[in-house]
Amino acid sequence: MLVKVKSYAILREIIGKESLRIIVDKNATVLTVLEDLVDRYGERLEKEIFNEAKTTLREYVAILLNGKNIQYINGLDTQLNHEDQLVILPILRGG
Amino acid sequence: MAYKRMVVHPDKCIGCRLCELVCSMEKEKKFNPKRARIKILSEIEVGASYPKVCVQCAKCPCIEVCENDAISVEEETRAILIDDGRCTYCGDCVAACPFGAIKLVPGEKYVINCDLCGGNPICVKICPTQAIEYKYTRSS
Amino acid sequence: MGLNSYGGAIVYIDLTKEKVAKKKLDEDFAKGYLGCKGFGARILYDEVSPRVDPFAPENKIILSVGPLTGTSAFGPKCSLVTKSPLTGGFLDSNIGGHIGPELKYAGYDTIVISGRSKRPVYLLIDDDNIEFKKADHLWGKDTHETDRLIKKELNDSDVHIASIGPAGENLVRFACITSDLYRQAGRGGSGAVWGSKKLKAIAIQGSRSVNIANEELFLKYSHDLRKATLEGGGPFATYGTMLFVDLINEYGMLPTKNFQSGVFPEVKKINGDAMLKTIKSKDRACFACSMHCANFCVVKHGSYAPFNIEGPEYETTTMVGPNCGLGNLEAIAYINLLCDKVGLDTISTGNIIGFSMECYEKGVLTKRDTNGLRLTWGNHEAMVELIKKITYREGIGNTLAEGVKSASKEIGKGAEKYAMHVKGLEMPAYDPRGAVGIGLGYATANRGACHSRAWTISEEVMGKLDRFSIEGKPMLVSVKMHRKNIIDALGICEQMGLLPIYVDLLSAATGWNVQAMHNKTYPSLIEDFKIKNENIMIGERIYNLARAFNIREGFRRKEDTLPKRFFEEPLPEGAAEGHFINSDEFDKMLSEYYKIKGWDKNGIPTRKKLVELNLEDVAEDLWS
Repeated sequence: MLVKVKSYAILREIIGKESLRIIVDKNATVLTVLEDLVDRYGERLEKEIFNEAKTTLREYVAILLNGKNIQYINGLDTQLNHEDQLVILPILRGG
Repeated sequence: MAYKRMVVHPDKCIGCRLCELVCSMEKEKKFNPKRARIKILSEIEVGASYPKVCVQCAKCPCIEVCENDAISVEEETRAILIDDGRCTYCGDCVAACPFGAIKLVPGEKYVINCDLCGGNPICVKICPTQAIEYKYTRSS
Repeated sequence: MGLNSYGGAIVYIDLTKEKVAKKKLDEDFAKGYLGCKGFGARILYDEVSPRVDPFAPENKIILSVGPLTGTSAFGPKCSLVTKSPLTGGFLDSNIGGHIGPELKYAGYDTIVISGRSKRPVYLLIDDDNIEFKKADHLWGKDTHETDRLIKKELNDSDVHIASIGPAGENLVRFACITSDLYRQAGRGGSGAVWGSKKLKAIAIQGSRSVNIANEELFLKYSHDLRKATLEGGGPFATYGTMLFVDLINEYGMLPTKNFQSGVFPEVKKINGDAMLKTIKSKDRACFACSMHCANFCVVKHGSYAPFNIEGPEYETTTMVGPNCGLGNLEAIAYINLLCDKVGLDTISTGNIIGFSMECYEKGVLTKRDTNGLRLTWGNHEAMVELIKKITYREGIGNTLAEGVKSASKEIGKGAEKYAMHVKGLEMPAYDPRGAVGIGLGYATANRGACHSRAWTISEEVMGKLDRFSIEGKPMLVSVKMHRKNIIDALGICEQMGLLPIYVDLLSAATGWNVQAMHNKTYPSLIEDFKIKNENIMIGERIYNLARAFNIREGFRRKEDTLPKRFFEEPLPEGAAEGHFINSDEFDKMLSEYYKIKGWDKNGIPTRKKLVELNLEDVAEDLWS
């Protein structure tokens, strides 16, 4: 199935474009997509998304699935469906 | 013999002055940048900052000029130490230092200089951008 | 020995009599109001009576710092509190950079300036020594030139200077204070209050120390704060608030063409990436901050080059850019610099120019009205000319200098429906149709339409809430308001937020037992601080005190509202297309908010609430 991934700021710079289409198999989760991205774009991307131990997302990163924060669904294990849209965002705090 | 020195990278300095703050707290037990052994010189209009601090010269002009024998080099760290007992606050060392690192404290009769915190400089620990480092260099 | 972590003195400066009086800082006062906005709110309430004209000698300028100011715990902001010439109500405005710490090093927590000087004057504060210096030769000069000249005549490049430019001198109602060249106490017209007192500048130099109750712990916590900042900053450290441009546009709520739309087609020309690629030169930091989010830019291309500027930030970029149909980053940066020099609030300036452009587009203003200026969307040359007219009150500039609320009334012909403000303070860079909670924040902030008093964006767009629904918003806004009042009482920056480490830092600094109160609905957010055994929520107290000042001036529920556009016109495009705020829903949300706050149906804090907050004297004023 096809999943669209959009990113901002440094991630966008590393990926080189605003959005990507990724083909994943039907059991894919959010983590599957992130691992795919790390495979393609390497350590620099990995460091921006995951913490040192590679167990959780960086404190300043949020991921929205079809507009909803995955923190309120099933985290990195959230299941994906065909034509889902993932957005990887920096968390804003104020201003 | 090789020794570590303070190395300054002005291009990395963001002008936060955390170094001045932790230095004065460490040395004087209060926050007062004017009593810090390191000073940040800023040119706000061009967004530039320069950390001004003793860099443990191989040949020290401050020692050469002091007639009171009040300045010495600490054996292990090669920090430049000032003996308050012998210092007459004449200011000759202040004028001799090419970096302006030794300071006369404004309004008081004492001279201060960086003593490297005994080999673990606290300013280096706090600097968010590693604009100051304490390391071996080619010329030491 | 004095109070730990405080300067220990409040100084009263009377410009009419050229007299100075000092008062020791009382510990109970410090515990009750913490500092910065807290001190300012109490003093303004006590000393500026209702219905005093903001330009009268009886209005006061209160500059305060907080307990963490001048320490290695981040707390550099100096709060300026006064009565606003734009709204006629409470104003507090924060100025970052390095001037706050210098005030503390001079030995002061607060300066209260009253009266009016006969001639232009600047104040020199040098530890114990406070002088009234002639400023005739500085009057008319811009803030950068003033900074240079004062440093030269004092023969001191280390002195920190805050000054007004010609806009403040000419009593432009949204004139600001500029300090250290690129920092401002921007909003609400404080610059005009200085101008009305003929106060050109304040120069501060301090050589005193700040003592800490528990030095070792404090240093340890400072290292922890640094670590938390470096780990939690992420792309914010690189982009600063320019990070927001793309995201807010993506959510369809980026003010475009005077809030006619929420999407700007040329956003890529003016976003954070564009800044990094074209004009950014290096990172800069506020005093004691590890985040270094400020963007120092060197502009080498375009019709205004060459020039330097620290900025622009998100608000300036959006209000001067998309809100005026302008997609040229160099021009935006230049307009930012121009406003910094003449001393104008960039948010209000961008808002009022956007207003003028819509009036021009719709024929409410013609070329004759604008003295020949073609106020077409994106016409930055016309914007530069208009800013000069506003600064010197020439032609249409004289009308606009009164602020968008008054200007729209004077222009007439239906212009009022194009005026985007709350209580007279021009609306900043978030369209509330895209997040109704921030609309409630705009309506109920003490100083008028302010985005930062209850910044709800993250919770509304990436939290559990539905950004278009009023559900959960009253409680969210209430928590944010209290939180922000603590942030503004400590003088810390809101970008990292009210981190738990601040409880430890404040306790170690003062020796008090400070406790953080979390909100049940939003348990991860610290809502307020209190001091053990004193059951008063300090943030809530300060917010209510400032509210009471406004109530005393005659503000009521009907001023807690939004411009009609947001209730009547759906957004035409983008992710929030079709959305507007239902006015019945808004009323319901506001009523719910009042209930949570312990205010009556008119928005007046009840006697019970005021007594609970240890504001009995205020309760007497409002309820007897």
